[in-house]
Amino acid sequence: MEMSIICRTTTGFLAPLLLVFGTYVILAGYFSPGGGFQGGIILGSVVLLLFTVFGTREGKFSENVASLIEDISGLLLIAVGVLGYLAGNALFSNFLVGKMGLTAGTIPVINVLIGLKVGVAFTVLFYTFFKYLERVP
Amino acid sequence: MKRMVPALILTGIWAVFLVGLQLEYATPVSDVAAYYISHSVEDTGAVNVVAAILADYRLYDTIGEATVLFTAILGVTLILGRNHHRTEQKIKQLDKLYGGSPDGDVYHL
Repeated sequence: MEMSIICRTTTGFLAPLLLVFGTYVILAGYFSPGGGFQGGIILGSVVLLLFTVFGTREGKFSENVASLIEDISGLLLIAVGVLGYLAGNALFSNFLVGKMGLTAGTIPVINVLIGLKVGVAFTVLFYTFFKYLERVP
Repeated sequence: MKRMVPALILTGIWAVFLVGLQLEYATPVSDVAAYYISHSVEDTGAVNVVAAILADYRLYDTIGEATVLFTAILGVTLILGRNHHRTEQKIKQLDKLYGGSPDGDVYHL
C-alpha cells in the first residue's frame, strides 16, 4: 500500500515540520497553549500520515520498541509522582518548583512523558489497525 | 423521509429537556476554580493555568487518562493484534500437516 509520488513528496516535506511542531507544543506547554496530550496527538498524527502514505511494511518500525517506550514513560510518570511523596510532600505533588533551574518544577517533565506516552500509544493503535487491514486473508 | 420523523421528534424532545433543565454554567459551584486562577503562578511557576491544573493540581486525573489510553491499546491489540496472524499461521500449518478436510474446511482452534 503506497500512494502516488505527489503524496510521498508532500509527506516527506511536511513530516519533519510536523514533528518539530509537535515537539515544540510539548516543550512549550507550560508557558503557552499546548501540553503533553496535544503535542503527543500531533506526533501520533505524523506517524499516521507516514503509515497512510508509505505503508507499514516499508519502514523499520518495531512494535516492541514502541510498546517499551510507552510502558517506560508511563512508569516514569508514576515514579515522578512517587518522588514527590518521597520528597516530603503529598503524592503527585510538584516538588521541584524554583529548584534546579526549573521554574515550573515537574510540569515540563510530566508534559514530555505524557507527550511520549500519548504519541507512541496512538502509533501502536494505528499500526495495529493497519496491520489488521493489510493481513493476508 | 419516514426515518427522519422519529429523529426529528427525538431531537425536539431532547431540546425541550435541555431547555427545561435551565443549566447554569456561569456561576462556579466551588471556590477551587478561583483559587487555581489566582494562585497557580506562585504555586507551580507555570504561566499556563491549564498546564498547571493538568500536570500539577490534577496530576492524578491525568495519570488516569493515560491509563485509559493504555487500556484502549490493550483491548485493540488483544482483539486485532499479532495473535490473529499467529492463529492463521497455525491453521495453515495444520492444513499443511493434515491436508485439510475434503470439503475445504479449515481447522478451528
